[in-house]
Amino acid sequence: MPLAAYELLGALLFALGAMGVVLRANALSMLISVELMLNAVNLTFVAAARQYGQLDGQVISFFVIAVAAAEVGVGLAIVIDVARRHTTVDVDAASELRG
Amino acid sequence: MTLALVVAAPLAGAIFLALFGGYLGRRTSGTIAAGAILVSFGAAAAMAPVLLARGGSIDAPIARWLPIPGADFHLVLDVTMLAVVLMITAVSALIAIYSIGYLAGDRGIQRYFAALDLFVAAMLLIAVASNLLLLFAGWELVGLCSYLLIGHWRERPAAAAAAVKAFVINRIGDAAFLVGIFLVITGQGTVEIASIGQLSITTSVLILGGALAKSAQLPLHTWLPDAMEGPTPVSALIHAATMVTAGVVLLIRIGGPLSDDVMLAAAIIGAITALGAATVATAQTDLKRVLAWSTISQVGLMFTAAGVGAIFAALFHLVSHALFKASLFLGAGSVLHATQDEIDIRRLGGMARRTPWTAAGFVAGALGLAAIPPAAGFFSKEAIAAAALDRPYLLVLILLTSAVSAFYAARLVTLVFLTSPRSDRASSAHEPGAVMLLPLVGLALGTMTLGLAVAAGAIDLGVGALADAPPWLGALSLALAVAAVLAGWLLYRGGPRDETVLALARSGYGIDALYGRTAVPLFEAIARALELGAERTNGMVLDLVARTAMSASSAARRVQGGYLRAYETLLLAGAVALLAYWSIR
Amino acid sequence: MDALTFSFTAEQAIFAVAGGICAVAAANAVLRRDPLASALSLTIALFALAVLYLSLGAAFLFGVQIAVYAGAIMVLLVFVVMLLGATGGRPPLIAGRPRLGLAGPLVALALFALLAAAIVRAPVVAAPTAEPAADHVAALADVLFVKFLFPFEIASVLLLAALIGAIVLAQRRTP
Repeated sequence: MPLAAYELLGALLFALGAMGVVLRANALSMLISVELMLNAVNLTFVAAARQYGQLDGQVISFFVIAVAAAEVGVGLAIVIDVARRHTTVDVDAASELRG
Repeated sequence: MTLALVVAAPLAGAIFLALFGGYLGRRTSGTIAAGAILVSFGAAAAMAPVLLARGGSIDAPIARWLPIPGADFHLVLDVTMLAVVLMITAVSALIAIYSIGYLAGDRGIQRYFAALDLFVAAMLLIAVASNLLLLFAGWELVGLCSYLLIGHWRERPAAAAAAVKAFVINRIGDAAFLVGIFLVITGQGTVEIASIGQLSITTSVLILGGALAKSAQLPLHTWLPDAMEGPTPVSALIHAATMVTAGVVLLIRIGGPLSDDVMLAAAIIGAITALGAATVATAQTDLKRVLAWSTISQVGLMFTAAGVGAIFAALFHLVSHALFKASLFLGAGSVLHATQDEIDIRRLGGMARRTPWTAAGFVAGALGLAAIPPAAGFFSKEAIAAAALDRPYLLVLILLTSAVSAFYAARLVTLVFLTSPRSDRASSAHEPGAVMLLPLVGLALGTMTLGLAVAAGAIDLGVGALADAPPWLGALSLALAVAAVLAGWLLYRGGPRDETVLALARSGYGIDALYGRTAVPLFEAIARALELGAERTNGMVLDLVARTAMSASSAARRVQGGYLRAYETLLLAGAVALLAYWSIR
Repeated sequence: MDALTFSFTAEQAIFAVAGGICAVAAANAVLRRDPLASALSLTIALFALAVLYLSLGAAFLFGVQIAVYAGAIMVLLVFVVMLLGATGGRPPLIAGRPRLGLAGPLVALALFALLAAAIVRAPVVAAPTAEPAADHVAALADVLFVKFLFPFEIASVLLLAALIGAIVLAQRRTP
């Protein structure tokens, strides 16, 4: 299986995630889309690791997962906080930081 | 070089006083100012023997200036101007010393002295500049200093108005002068005075216009009486002895190149102005205004002399008038100082008994004005009359002017000094201090001795001895003068008289009022229109700038809408753009 | 489990199946209105990815993906979704303001196009000839704790910070 195939799949997942981030108004759905993007990156790293014969790519993916875990934890805490203030997780409602 | 020092010393004094005057006291700044002028005098005196011995001129090229032929920082002193320079520096120094006493207690005295020194430097520049442009620089500077000094008492609206009036009217003359200089450049190819050939009538008229304004001759004379709002020493220096003579100096220096017709016109204008102003002087009740109109009259006589080519006569009268008019003004200043500014001569009187020294100085000046020997005024007027012998109409005007001058001189002396006091301020007057008396006495002595010295040929003013006038002329002048003086004394020795018959003369024949109804509103309307135009344009431009900035900023603000997803989209779009850029490269 | 390298055709089959499931599930996750449905779709996608990792010779990562990502992170997400109770009413897919319209999908499409172009044009890298290590975990551990020791330590600090931060944030009383 050529590397390009995995990379293309990764690109597709990444683009899908990006679209989701921009498209969705729900904070949780946004988070989900972000996770999707992270995973797309992971796939690319692992495929590259196999292609180049090094385990470094897998280790990096490992770190990505760790960081994703941290990020989700803090992000969800924020979402809960925002939800408490605005009684909604519609990100369009949380637009007070405006110029 | 010594010649450069003549101009540089007062200029340095002015700069020094302008910068540091605030830290100095009255006497120190006055001493520095007078000292700088005396350095100038010394430098000129040092060059006198050489000049008088060999004639010609002393050259002092200093630096290059403009890329116009002849327009350099270049000074030149010939024998003619030597007299002028010595007179300017001597009289200015004495007046500076006088000012130390006169302006005691004045808070702005340091800037007064700075302006005074600058004035002297500029006036000297007019006398010794080698080219018209440098002369014009001095010309403008004296106008500026005149403005500053007339308006020295800033808190007085009348003084400010007078300063503006003087400046504006001089501006009219200056504009004509400048256009004349431009014509000289295009027509002659150089501005160096020594190299200018015959000028066209147009150019000559324009240059004459500048001289008329600066010397307060018809029709640009209305600023001088108002200029009396300034301190009396200023009136003495600028509006009697020096600045108003700048026009005469100019005519003397470029009389050759100027068209003969225009010079004759200058003579005629001068003569008419002289007689008219003399009649106006007889009707004045303000002590200084009498002297102001008298100055206009006497300068008119100088114009007459210069106009007919009598350089020596014009020069002689210039110097002698400076001496006696300055004496008169300083005397008037002392009277004002003594009577706490009682300026109406109808309310003065008896000053001879209360302020004898002042009276003596004043009378000496009056003798010069009335052209009674041994005052120098007699001899200088003789010279002018002699020069006009071949033009009877001018001669008549000159003689009439002399008679009227003697009359109002007597009137003035009688009313102020000889009759009994007519007010409390006059009766409680006291002699001013030595600082003010000594310069007055000095000038008075100068008036007396100069005439004798010149008449005897002892002092050579450089342009030939006194023209041998026919004796009957001298006798006639003397007789007229004595008769006029007697008439004045007899008419006024009982005190002021009813002078309603002189009402028209008192108003200056309505000329100033006429200007006030025609030219002044016109100028104001033009100025207002220009200001509005400028303001409106300025407003429009500013408005445009403001509106553009505001609409740009409100467009830019929309990026910061606070909407998270908009930010995200922009981020993503930016990243995509970067990627596209890299992949294309 | 050893690192297994399947045959060319087997790998192709796995890629086709798992990759397809992953793509479909991902699209579904992005396009569904209900966040719960999105979360569950994503979980499926993660599982498919785990299988892909396995076929790419990352057995350890296969386990980690399922245990941590699908098993912990997604559980947390689902938990919060249910806690916040579907935000009262059906949230709109594309909200009213700001009117971005098709901006999002278009940008994403552009992104994919660019990436795809870059991928296709990239020079082909020759596959390695070396055999994969027998003990995969040991080899992985060797890289992780030697070459990447510093990032490892940093990551643990990060996790600690996130832990504390989450607790602090979630505890805040609303004013």
